[in-house]
Order: sequence, then structure tokens, then C-alpha cells
Amino acid sequence: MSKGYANNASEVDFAVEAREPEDERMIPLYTFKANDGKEYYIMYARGKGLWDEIWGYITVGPDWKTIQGEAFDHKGETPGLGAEIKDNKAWYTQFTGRKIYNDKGEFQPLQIVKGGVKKPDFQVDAISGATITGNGVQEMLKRGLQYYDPYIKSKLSENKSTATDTLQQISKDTLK
Amino acid sequence: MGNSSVIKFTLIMTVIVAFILALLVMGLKPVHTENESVYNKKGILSAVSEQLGKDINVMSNKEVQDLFGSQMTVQALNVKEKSSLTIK
Repeated sequence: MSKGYANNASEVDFAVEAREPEDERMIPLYTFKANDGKEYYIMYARGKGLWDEIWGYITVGPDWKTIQGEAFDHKGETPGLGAEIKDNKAWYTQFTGRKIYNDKGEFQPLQIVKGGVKKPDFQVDAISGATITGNGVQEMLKRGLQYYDPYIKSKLSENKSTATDTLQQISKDTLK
Repeated sequence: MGNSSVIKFTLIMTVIVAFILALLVMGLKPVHTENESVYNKKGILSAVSEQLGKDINVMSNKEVQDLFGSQMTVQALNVKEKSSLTIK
């Protein structure tokens, strides 16, 4: 298979891949199967904060659009300011329920804004005193999640055709 | 004590300390690798903490490894070729 990895994602070192040119990288997609049987998809993004690297994981549900969970981490952001991206639960849980795709099915990067959220589906409040880290998170999510766009679009079209098939089947069954 | 004795002592100590440190690094490598792996897995599982219903920070390393192994699948997506590799 591609890039010399036999057929096994376990051989892929994502830390090494992160140093590859952007369009040649292998990126991880984690699928979590919850106890109730539902599947959640976790995407990974890496970027730059004020002092050093920041990274995060964004979880979407089976609709591939709505954020169901998130986790951020950093290497050396300032405690009480930039480090709040990891430590302040009230801040990072704002992402839950936000969307990364609009109604037309287009990728919509999340925005971190100061002075109040105006588009609740696609914006979260910034952290006071950590503008550069906040901008870093916004840029990281924009760049990181757009790599998943082709894959997600293919999944969205699969979902759409499955939904159409189901509707057609229901219509047929109803007409019988 | 002459200069040559000081130099000899320094050289011998440097070699001994370097040897001990090298042994320590080699001996602790598996622990380091496991801790790093658990830290990364905890980070990933934190993104589904609501769905887990458990606090990841109070889980033992083994619990984290078991949970990750049993409920998580990893795919490597190739951005350019739009292909993917999967591992359970």
C-alpha cells in the first residue's frame, strides 16, 4: 500500500508523518465504539501556540458534522493563560455541540472569537489573555481538520445514499 | 595532587558516569515508551470522556491500554492518495 507501509496502520509513526509535507502526510482517524454500540470518530490536529506546539483531538458523531467531544494539549503554554486550553474545562467543552460542516455539507472552520459568540454553531469564546494561543487553536483546527475533508465528504455522501435507499425502501414497503 | 591526577580522575569519572547513565537510559527505555504510549492514549480517550462515563485520569495504565485496545480502531488516512490503512 501507499508510502511503503505494508497494510498496517500500526506501522505508521504519526510523529514522523507530522514532519512530512502537508499534502503527503498520513493522518490518524480513531474510531471509538461506545458501550451502547454507537461509533465516534476522533480526528487529530497539531499546530503552534505562543511558545511551542499545541495539539488536539476532535470527536464527531455518526453524522460527521457535530462535535461530540474534544481534548487539547500543549508543550509549553503559560499556566493560567494559554495552558487553559487543556486545564479549563468550561472553555474547551464549548466545542461540544459546535459543527464543522454547514447545512450545504461544506467544511466550516471553527472560529475563536472575542466579545461574544454571534454564530453559535461555528464559534466559541476566546480565552482572555491568551489571544495568540487561541489563534493557534483556531488555525490548528482549520488546517488539521480540512485534511479529513475528502474522507468525511465520501462518508457524508455514503450516509446520504444510505438514507435515500432506506427512504426508497420505506416508500416501497408502504406502497405494497 | 598534580594536574595529571586531576585529569585522570576527571576522565575516569566521566567514563563511569556516562556508562551508568547509558545503562539507566537503556534500562528505563521500555518504561519510557509505555508511559508515552499511555499518555497519548489518555489524550485520545479524553476526547470521548463523555461517552466513556469514567474519569481517564484515575484509570491505571493497564486499564487505559485495555480500553484503547478493545474499543478503539485506528485508521491512517493518506491525504494525497485518499486511501486508508486500518488496524484494530
